[in-house]
Amino acid sequence: MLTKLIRYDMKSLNRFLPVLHIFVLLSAILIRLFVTGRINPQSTSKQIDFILVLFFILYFTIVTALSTGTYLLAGIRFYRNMFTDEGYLTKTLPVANSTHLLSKTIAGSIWGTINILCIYLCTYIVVYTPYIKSVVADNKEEILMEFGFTGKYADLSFSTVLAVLLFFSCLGSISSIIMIYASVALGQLFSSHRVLGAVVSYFAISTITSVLTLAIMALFGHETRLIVTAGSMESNFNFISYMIEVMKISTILMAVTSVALYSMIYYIMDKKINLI
Amino acid sequence: MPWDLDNNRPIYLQLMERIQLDIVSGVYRPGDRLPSVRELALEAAVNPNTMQKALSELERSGIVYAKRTSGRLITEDEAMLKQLKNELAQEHIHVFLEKMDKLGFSREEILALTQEQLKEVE
Amino acid sequence: MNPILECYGLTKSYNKMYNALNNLNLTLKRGQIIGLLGPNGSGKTTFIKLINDVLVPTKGEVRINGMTPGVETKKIISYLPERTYLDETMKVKEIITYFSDFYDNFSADRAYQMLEDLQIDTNARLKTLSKGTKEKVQLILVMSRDADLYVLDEPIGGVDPAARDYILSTILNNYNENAAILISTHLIHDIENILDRVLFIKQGQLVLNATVDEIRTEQGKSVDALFREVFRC
Repeated sequence: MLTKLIRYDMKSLNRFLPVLHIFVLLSAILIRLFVTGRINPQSTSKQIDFILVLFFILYFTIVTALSTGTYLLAGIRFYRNMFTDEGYLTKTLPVANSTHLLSKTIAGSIWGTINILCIYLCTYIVVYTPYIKSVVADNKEEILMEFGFTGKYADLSFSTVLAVLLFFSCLGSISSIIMIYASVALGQLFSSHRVLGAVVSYFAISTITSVLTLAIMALFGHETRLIVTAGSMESNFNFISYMIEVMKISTILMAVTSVALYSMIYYIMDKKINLI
Repeated sequence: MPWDLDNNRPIYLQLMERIQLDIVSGVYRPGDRLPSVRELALEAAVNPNTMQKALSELERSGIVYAKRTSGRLITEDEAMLKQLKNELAQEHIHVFLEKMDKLGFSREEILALTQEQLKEVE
Repeated sequence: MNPILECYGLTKSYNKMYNALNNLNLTLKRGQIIGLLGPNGSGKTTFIKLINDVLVPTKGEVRINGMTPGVETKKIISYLPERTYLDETMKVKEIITYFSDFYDNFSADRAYQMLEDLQIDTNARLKTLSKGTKEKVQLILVMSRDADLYVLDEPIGGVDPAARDYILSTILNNYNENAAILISTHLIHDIENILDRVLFIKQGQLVLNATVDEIRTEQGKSVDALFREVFRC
């Protein structure tokens, strides 16, 4: 049953998301071909700087819209399929609520991960021009040093970094999807303003988790270090070790909040939902 | 075409009457097999349980009888069929007389009118 | 064999002031076609939703074949809600595949046969169909399952008289002594003849539970006429 459900959830998301992602990929290629790929470092002028900044803003907007769109569509699918008229069919299939939730979480996370990978790829296409490539190749040692790939991190292979990044992205998309679904489910408790309730819940949940994250980071003394280092560029600051610390803490935080929110969604779906 | 049924009287009674009429008027011949309960219920557009009840009642009166393998058959007892026919005729005549009575005709007048009508039809 | 449906003190309130369904006690046996009758807002749909687990009871319980609503009961109940519950972007034949995928007791052949009888294009997307046609598609899907309990909420409300006859004969065709069919409607006159039993619901309470012929024999009037009397405004 689970695989059948996932198939239908994917099918529903597949109606819009591939088009959206291909569009973003194409625009990245276009920006590379006509803007970033054409920059001649010898003749930089203020004008080109301006255009460059403009295009980076544009690119950033497109990428943000892509992520928002992806999670929004997954959220809409969850909402429509479970809580609107369609819910009458979904809820009367011989499938447990837990299976429905798992299926939707898996389908959403798959697209969340595709989304992040797509953004990595686009950024690579836009930024990593032959010129940048040559600069990086010429100053490899220095760059690695700057980023802190020294000491115990000196031997990190590219594939290890990629694997860590992939794991983190995967976890990130799962937790984002769960957060969206949690907002939708919480919104159902506002019986006369369900969609508005979902939006409010989303901001509430994200505010609470950010505050929580900041508080815990501060507790471990990372927040202060970030502020200090940003100001004075201490020489002993190691970007990679800092990032690894942050990732560790965020991983634990994301895992804990995701499990808590997931249980909450399940509880709401199982005990609280009254389709009107 | 669903059977034309009166809404105020028990359905099974009306189903019995309708089948009796079909038997007397020769839609079903003596010894014929009746359609199944489901078929009859579908034809009449009534509940199969109600049709079942009607057929059971007919069975009790002897006008149809159940045979183990071939469903329900119409009785071949000519005397019984004739009696049924007479009973139905009497019912109709009874209703007819009641209505004429209401219209204020005397027995003699009814007889005269009926004879006149019969001649015209011929 | 278990009764197909039992309710004990079944109560549902949407807010604290008012019970949409109030202490309903009821047992229904298999092999019957049951009419669930009551004016708008009497609690018919609430009752049906509780049977189908789309509502959670406030108090009391409902049992289907001895089980509380859940995965197992959904396997044996075929439910037609009073609204369009299909994904409008799907094609008719995709929905048939969907039903085949999820319901073991769904017969795609029977569904295709009925769609053909009613001349519904299986390649059409649902959103291109008229409201009446969508209702027919839903009813076909529901009646193409070999369920133990069919729960039909206003099955003939929005369709033309010709389709109504077809639908009623479909319901009759599907009748078997192991199944029960619960039909909610306010078009009593049209379905009176196919019912075994009627339940009258008034303000969330059961006010009558009798067979159609009992009503006609004892009261000398049709269910429709009795209904008008009981629910006179």
